[in-house]
Amino acid sequence: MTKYEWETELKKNIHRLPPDEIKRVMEYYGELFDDYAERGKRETEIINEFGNPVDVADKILAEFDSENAVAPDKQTEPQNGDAPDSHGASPKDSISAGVGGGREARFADGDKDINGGTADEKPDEKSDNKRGPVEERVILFVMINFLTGFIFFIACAVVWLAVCMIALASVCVAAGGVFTTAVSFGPIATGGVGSGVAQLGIGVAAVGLGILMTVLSVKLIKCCAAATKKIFVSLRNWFFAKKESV
Amino acid sequence: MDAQLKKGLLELCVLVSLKNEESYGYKIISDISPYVDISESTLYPILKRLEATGALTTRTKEYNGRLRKYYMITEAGRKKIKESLYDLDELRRIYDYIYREGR
Repeated sequence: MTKYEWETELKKNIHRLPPDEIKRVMEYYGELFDDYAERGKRETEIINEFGNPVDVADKILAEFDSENAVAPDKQTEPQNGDAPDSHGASPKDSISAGVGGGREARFADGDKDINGGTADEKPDEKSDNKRGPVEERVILFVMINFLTGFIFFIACAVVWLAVCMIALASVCVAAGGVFTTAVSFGPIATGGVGSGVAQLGIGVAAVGLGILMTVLSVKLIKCCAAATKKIFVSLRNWFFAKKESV
Repeated sequence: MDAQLKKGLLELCVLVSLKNEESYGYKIISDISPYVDISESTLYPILKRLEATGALTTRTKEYNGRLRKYYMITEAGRKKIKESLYDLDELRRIYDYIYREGR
């Protein structure tokens, strides 16, 4: 394979990238090629060093896709790359992510702990491992957590209580409907068809309504759970942003 | 080695290689190679991300009648090196432990 063939193959395989990105890639490898050639390496040696152009292209595409797909959720980077490490995560974050579950995992547990009221654990864990200016951030983090934690916890409790009561009410409506339906056959059988059928109708309607309400309240509970999680995540992101900028 | 860990370490190595003077692709690779395996295709996204996060800036200079891209570390980049030294202390303790007890 010649240099030209290698470059052509590479360019072909990354053609779906934006033009300025393609230009950047080709300039990068072109420059490297010239530098290697200047130091006496032969064309075939150099393209061997670069590797298969399709593989190189795949790597570029994969990196590009991950950088541009996962932008917002920066600091909630999971371990060991099941979501790509795009997030502009600093080298420091990458290292911590690799080094023993770093701060991410501890915060995950810590956030759950807030809900249970034991937010105290977090500062101890963190301050053991960091020193210097980071301590300020830790204190800031804890304070904000306590403040929002309490308010948030109370708000959450109220919302969840309301949601559970709605769910309970739905079940009662449905149950009441079942009983009403069952009991309605009495009057029908003993001749009071009019009122019996009316009661039957009401009973069945109540069952239907109750089931519908139950389904809706389950959905509502799921929404609350998702919203709770989201708020935790964005709070955590905000704290990280504070850390990065301090 | 864990991919994420290596990526983070490689980013640091690149920054460190820029700490005292500006550099360019070939030189970065040759400066780092004695210490860690890094290929041209690995370096490219690292340089890209470091620039995106403001840890380095680039400029194009003419050299021997062709254009070459030079990379320079920024204050933010220097700060990242400094902060990562804390993590590296922990990393070294972990390494020592595993190396000692794991054999």
